[in-house]
Amino acid sequence: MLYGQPHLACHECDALLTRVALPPGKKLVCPRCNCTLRKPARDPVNRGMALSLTSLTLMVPAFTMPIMTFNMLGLDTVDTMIKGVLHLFQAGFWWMALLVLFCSILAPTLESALVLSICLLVRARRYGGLLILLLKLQARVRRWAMLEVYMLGILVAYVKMIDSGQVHMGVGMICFSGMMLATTLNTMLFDTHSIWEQVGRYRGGIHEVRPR
Amino acid sequence: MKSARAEGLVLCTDCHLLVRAPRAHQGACPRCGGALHARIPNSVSRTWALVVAAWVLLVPANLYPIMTVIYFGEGEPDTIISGVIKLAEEGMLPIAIVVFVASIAVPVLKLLGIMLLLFTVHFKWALSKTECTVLYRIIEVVGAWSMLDLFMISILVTLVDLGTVAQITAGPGATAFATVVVITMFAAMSFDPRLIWDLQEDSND
Ligand SMILES: [Zn+2]
Ligand SMILES: [Zn+2]
Repeated sequence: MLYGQPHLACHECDALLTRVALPPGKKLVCPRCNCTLRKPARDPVNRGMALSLTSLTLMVPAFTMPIMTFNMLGLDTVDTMIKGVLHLFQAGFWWMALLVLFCSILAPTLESALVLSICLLVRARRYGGLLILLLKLQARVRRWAMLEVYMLGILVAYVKMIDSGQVHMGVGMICFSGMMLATTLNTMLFDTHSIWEQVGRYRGGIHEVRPR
Repeated sequence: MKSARAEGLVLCTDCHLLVRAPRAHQGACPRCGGALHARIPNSVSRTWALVVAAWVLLVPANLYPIMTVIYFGEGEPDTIISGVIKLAEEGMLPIAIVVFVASIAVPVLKLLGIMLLLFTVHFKWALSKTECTVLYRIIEVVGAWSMLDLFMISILVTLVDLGTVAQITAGPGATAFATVVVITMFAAMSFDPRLIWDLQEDSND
């Protein structure tokens, strides 16, 4: 048995289900609402660390290097992700700037940093309050990382300006694409359930629950 | 199929541990310390409040300009809708459709979808539970894509900043629209999809 408990409930429809052993690569789907309940990863900690490190490394150039350059009548402008946010702040659109900053820069950075720290703590077998706090934070921050949407934003802006002048994609765009892939894969594949199971086993006193 | 709640069990929202709970809203999870609730507390009323707020803010978001494109000192402010129309007229139909879907169709359909779920739960409409759950999942996933226009504006204001030759500036409509996006995301989060399936059990009794 992979998981300690004989029963589990679906978080989307509350169906009470009997737990079965689940080999890595297979997923457990709720028979009532089709929601994916468990998807054990083969090596969640090492893969999580590799993907987090990749995305954190690529974030530095992705945020600071030129995403696009625009040329019109011999005049040049360069767009980077950080500049985009600063520009909005300077123009007085601080609320929109904060939102763009959070969804395109802070949330993805925080998410990768959280997954990396969680993996490091699990490797060090430190299943204490800090790990629990980080796991909860990761679950909340995840949905605010909107890199795929930002990617579409870049493409739409590119097509929109293509007739007005010369637009070129920059080095930042390549780093951004790689970073987006690594971060998205990390979010999709990171198996928090298996880590929660480890926390429960370590802390003890997590009793089996059976229906009456 | 029985629900965990009918068996006196509560699923921890944070760590998904199944816990025996003596009362519906009582206690903390033994594994992660999170508060235990059989269902999200006040899910329906909170979701309604957010939906109403989002509809109200959609008005300034669409009335006020979100962006102004100025070439050689000339340019008219664009609202979300006039921006889409202009894109279509300039022959950029695919882009116009993308922006239309992300900025108009998604927020409006998302709000209507959440309202349909809220009405279904309130009036116990006999809709397919599976289809309602699919609708809920679409609403959850699709919300982030409304940020497209805001990301695009942040890119364009930086990219097209050539002083008197060409300039793109953001407008007050963008601030309202940003708030709409955030509120609709919170609305989707505060709705508890288990309420849909509770209807089934209530009718089985
Ligand atoms: Zn289910
Ligand atoms: Zn818990």
